[in-house]
Amino acid sequence: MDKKDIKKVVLAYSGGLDTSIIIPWLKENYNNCEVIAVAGNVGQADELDGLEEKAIKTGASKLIVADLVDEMVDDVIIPSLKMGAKYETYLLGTAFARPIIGKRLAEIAIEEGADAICHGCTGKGNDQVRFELAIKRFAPDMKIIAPWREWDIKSRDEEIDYAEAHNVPLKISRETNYSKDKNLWHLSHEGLDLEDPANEPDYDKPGFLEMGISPFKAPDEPTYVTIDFEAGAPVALNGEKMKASAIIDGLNKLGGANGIGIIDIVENRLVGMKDRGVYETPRRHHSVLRPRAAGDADSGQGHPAPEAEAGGGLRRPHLQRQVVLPRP
Amino acid sequence: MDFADLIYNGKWFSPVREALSAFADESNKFVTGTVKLKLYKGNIIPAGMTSPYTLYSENLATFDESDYDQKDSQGFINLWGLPTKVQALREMGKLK
Repeated sequence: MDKKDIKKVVLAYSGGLDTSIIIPWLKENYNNCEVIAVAGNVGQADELDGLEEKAIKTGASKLIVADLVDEMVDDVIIPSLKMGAKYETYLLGTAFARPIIGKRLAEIAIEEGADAICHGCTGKGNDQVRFELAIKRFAPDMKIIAPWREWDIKSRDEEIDYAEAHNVPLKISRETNYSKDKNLWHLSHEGLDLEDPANEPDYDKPGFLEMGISPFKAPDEPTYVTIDFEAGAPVALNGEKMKASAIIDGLNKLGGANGIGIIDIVENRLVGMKDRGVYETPRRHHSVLRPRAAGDADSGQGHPAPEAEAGGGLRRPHLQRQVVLPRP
Repeated sequence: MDFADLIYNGKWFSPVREALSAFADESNKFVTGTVKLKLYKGNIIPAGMTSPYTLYSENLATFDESDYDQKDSQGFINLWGLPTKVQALREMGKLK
């Protein structure tokens, strides 16, 4: 499809900096096209508040909120737990949500008769790959617009300038303008002072940690928690049966309150460069929510033995202690 | 092939991932039970676990008297360590 023929675009929309300015940018650069904003609800909670008003005010024709929490948890996260999936020392998070969002974007674009799907992923990252592979699987001929690979904007600062020039409302300030991605599973922080791995993260900085507190501020009394598993999937929290997404939500709160799961790592991106990020994963899911699985396949029967890694992955000694359960 | 690589690299919707997930479902069939954990200042500390399918046997593992015959270990170690012993004898020029 030629650029001049694009009249209707489905945009993966979060209301964050990138996707907010993409709406006016699409209209300016793609024939004043209709922009349908699609927000995938993957458990980012309060980020969805006021989103419809914001999307329409910025120029979208409508906002579709796709509720994807249980699909993400049941179809991607639990199967990944069963495999004990962990990438380097990164406990995954964003990568769990992208395929499910990408699939729904493709479905909506087909339903709406859209000419293209647009996303706000940078040309330097993994998420462009994850989104576009999922879209290719369900809408193989769909045109994809990735403004970061097209426009002249070079930095988040320039994005803020663009937003201000186009009256796009932003809730961020330049000081706490980390690039964040939140879902039920985790919250990532990248950018600003974190771009230099020599810098210690300032966990007490307002607007930084959102899912919990740092271990230094955690209570002096421990919190006990029990998790029941059936065939490798969590089925109850503290004896109360509930769906997996509710267990994760409950563990986020308990873990967050005890400073669990802050990891600070440099990882190898698919597109070649190393990347420094701070992740909040208050369950330490791959440990708490991880019965030994694949590695025990030879024994035929397994005991639900979690590898309880306490704050593993962090380079700082105070968070680095590992407790690994002996194999039962 | 690492399952996490497939997720990280965007290959969730792929035949190989689906095949591995089928393996995971099968190999997790008996991963059933309860884990108890203690959360404390960024640490997760195991605090006990139970499973109806566990292969753990206190009778076998105990330091007290049990059905495990400690004499069985000698032959096991002789075989398990045979390559080690052969290599050492070779280096010493004593291998017959």
